[in-house]
Amino acid sequence: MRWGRRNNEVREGLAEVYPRLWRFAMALTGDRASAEDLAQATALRAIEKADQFRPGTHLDRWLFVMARRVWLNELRHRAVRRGAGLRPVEEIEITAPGPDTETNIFAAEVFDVMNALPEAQRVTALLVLVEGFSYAEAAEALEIPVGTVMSRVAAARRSVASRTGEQAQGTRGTR
Amino acid sequence: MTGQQSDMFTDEELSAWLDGEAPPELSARIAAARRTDAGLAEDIARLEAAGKAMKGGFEATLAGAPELPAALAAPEPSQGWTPGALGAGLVAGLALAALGLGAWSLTRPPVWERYVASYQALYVPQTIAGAGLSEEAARAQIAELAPQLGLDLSALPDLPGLELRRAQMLGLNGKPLLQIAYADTSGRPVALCIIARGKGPSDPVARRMEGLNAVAWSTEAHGFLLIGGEDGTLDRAAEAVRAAL
Repeated sequence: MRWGRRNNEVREGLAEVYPRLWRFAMALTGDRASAEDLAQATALRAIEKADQFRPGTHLDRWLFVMARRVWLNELRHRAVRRGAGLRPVEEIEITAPGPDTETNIFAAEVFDVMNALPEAQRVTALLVLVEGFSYAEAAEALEIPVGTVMSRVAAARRSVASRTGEQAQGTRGTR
Repeated sequence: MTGQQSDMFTDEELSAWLDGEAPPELSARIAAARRTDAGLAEDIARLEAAGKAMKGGFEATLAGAPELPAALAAPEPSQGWTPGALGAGLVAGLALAALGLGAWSLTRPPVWERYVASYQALYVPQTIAGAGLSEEAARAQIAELAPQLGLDLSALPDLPGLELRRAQMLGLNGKPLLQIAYADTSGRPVALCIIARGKGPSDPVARRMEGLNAVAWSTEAHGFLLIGGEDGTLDRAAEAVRAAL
């Protein structure tokens, strides 16, 4: 039963990919609540569309593309049209198991710097620098020309370089 | 722009070079110029450090990532999937989300155990029949993987009524989760799952999760879950594991 197998592959893989899906959503949305909202909506969509997943291909990439479309087409405008609909995460109050505080602080600092980047640069940098996408793969996933990937990654690097340069001279080591 | 020396290459070119995306001719020119131009070398180092900072930042963020909400993870009973059943599952999932996952989790086993249960519920005898490993190879896998948990499993005994099939490393929120798969005498899948989890020791408790029997306990630094198969088999196996480790 092909349908069932695909569905299992998506369901089984989803839990493992989910933290990275959320991180991708963080890069897209720039805030935690929207990221959780988007990651959940994407997971739900993925389960619905599991029959379209081609077994043996990258589940993470499939989910990233889906997340981006969900974000651009629906959530970005805060218009979730799905029956009862997923309520905003703030209301549900999921208690995430807490990572240690030190990690939190570090992540928060770096995210301050990265959040200052435009959304497009953040997402492209995540795919290329962290997720290991080639420029061509990132271009395909984001539906943009390769040259745009190149200039976004370069701009992100330059921008972070100048910011961390300021910090190095100013506030390093004060915490 | 910063250093005037770096004007000979654009940021795009330097960045592409750092990412291994520059064409060979450009790579050669940048590499040659960097050797003789201290300003350029410094600028490249700054851009490289910026890339690493972003990478580190994104990687650290992962530690704070939420888990897949249980309402989305919970599979249907393993009768075989139909679109109708899936639809019902989604409705149930949404209902749970609306009720509030926070309150729900209070009455449930720890999150990692629920994940394991969701996975295990999808396993059928064929899942582990196809593992195709000799017991020796499976033991070698365990020996190789256990150190990632900070655990020595060389004393892990044969478990009564269970046949070792394979071991694999899974992960939850960036933490390693070792799954050791067994088949019981009827070929049904049983798994011993171990996660590094410093919540202190606890005595074994019997659970019923996703329609499966399970026994959970923990030591100072690790959580254990034996799941699948018959109650009695699980109890004896849990006893054997606890006595040995």
